[in-house]
Amino acid sequence: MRTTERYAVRKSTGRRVLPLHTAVRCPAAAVSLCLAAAFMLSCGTTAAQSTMDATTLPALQVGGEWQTGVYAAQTQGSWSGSVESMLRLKLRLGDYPWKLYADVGTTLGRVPGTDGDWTVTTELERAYLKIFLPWADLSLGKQQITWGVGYAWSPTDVFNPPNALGPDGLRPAVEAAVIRVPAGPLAYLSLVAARNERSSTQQGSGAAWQYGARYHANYGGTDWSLAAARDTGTTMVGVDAKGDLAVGDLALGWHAEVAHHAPHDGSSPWVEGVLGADRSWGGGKVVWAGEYFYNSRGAETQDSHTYTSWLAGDRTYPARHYVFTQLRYQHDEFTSVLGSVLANLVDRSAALTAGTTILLGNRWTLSLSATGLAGRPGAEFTGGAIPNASFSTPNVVLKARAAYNF
Amino acid sequence: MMVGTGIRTKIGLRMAMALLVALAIGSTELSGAGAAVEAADLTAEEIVARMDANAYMASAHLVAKLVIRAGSREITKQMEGWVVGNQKAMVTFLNPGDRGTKYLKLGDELWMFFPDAEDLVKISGHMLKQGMMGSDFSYQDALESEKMGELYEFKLAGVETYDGARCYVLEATALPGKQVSYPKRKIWVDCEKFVARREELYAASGKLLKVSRVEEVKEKGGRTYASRVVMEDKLKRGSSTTLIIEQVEFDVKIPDDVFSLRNLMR
Repeated sequence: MRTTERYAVRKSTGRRVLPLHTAVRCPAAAVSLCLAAAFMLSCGTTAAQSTMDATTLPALQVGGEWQTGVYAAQTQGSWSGSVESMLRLKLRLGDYPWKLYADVGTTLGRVPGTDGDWTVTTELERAYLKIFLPWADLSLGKQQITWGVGYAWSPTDVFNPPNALGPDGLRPAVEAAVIRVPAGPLAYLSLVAARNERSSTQQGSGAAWQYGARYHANYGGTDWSLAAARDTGTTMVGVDAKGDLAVGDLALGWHAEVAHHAPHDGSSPWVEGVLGADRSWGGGKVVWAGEYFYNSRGAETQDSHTYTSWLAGDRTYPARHYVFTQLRYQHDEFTSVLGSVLANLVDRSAALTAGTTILLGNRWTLSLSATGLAGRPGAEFTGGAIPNASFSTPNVVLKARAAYNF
Repeated sequence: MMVGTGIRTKIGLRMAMALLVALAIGSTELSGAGAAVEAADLTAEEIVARMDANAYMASAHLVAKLVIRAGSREITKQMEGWVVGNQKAMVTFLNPGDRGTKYLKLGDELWMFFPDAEDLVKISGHMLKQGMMGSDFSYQDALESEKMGELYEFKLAGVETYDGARCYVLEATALPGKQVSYPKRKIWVDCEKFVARREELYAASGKLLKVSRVEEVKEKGGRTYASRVVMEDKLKRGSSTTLIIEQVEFDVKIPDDVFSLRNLMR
């Protein structure tokens, strides 16, 4: 699968990114699905029996989650689909000061809107070791590095930013070494060296490694952080904060994040910012949250949208102004429904999502969602402006996912 | 993510409940050593003072279980918690669906850690009314760390027999300027053990919001504690949560760094 397709699929559907070089047309990956299921079942009993002893038994503790999902996309009147499965493992040996995490994902599918063959791909999505030293905690391997406080956008996260179309999903992991040094009960300094995946897939696009530092603290009930990073040809300096605002009976949660990016080649710097708020009613049964995203190098008109960087896998969004809003209703302890809108305010295209999550007992969770992409032809979320693409952006994406915890 | 903010809507679903520890042990439900003395002719203030004094503990370590019910459906969550006084608490969840999810309470602030997303979230203030881990206990139920006598004005309404025990019936109204979850309360306090056997929690309008009742009381190290507490949300039909304390140690030495973001993210 080509790089452009890979990122386009992720961006248009919110699905996990299909791997670039690991696509294998072989039954082995299908077998891995079965192995995953078998492993899950074999571990399930042990985990269930030892749950309450998890903090006292000096034995190997195994836990994790198995997810499987079905995706269907309608593109220009025809439907295509895929099946994904992922096994997540967490290992810890007694009270030894380390933990090992691993996620393996398998996908059977093809790119929506193409006549390509069905392929089975397997990818080690995360695999990392956490070591707890007396003075710091160290994480080594392919992992998520979660910087910033934004939900749909996180401008200071130059390592693995969230996907605005699927912000609840896990961020794509990066190979990295992270050391976190505590500086008080509510403060720490995080130092990161991460391999830049995009640079390995783009010729001449910058350094192979990214480096960054982030200091997090709490002052007066507000969490805030200062961050700096040097990534592919750019130096980023940013700040984020999250707190509460109470005016009379009106109580709001708020968060803000700003990043200044300075290219090393002397071209113009740009600024990205997020301002968000949240509110709840009915004792938390109804929760609203919204974000506005500003991107100073984004286009101010539809005609001036450019997708060059985006198609190359860059994290850039093509427009200057976006909003994301989500409303969630907790029906009861087991069922919630939500609706969300992600909109490009410049070309007036949008992705609208509705979904529900249902707890099916202590171990199973079922999630269903539907996403519709709307806008004038040629707008960002309708995909018409993507030049020379060998695929089309779906109009509707349906997802059903079941997760089993053990 | 936006839990705490709301959005992080994996939110709600995987919400852990942290500080039930404080609820079950710290805030209102317990009596302590030496409490089993027949009390006669006490004023409301004296009864509350005894409850507050008995509820105080230097520290505790416990393993507990939450059974959450909605109609005929039921799920169980297991947790381990550490508490120091009424200002610090750390809870980690042990059941498979929530394993590794943690809460940290320091003063009136609450943080949550999602292990799968490797994400630390400060819970927004307005979210504290939400049920923790989908239970009928709200974050605020757990966060109210001040003594009852400092939050409410009490009136002794009489003496009744409840569940086979003689109980003082206290009516509480929030003191002016105090931020409380429930502006009015009605409490049935065991005349002998000074355990709150039953509690009704009301809105300012007088509407009944929740009812808690103690189903089981145990003793350990000379301290009496409620080992099984049921909370019913009267705004949700057929909804209840039972908190069961399975193991507990009082006045244990807990290092300060347990109550830190570093430990939360481990």
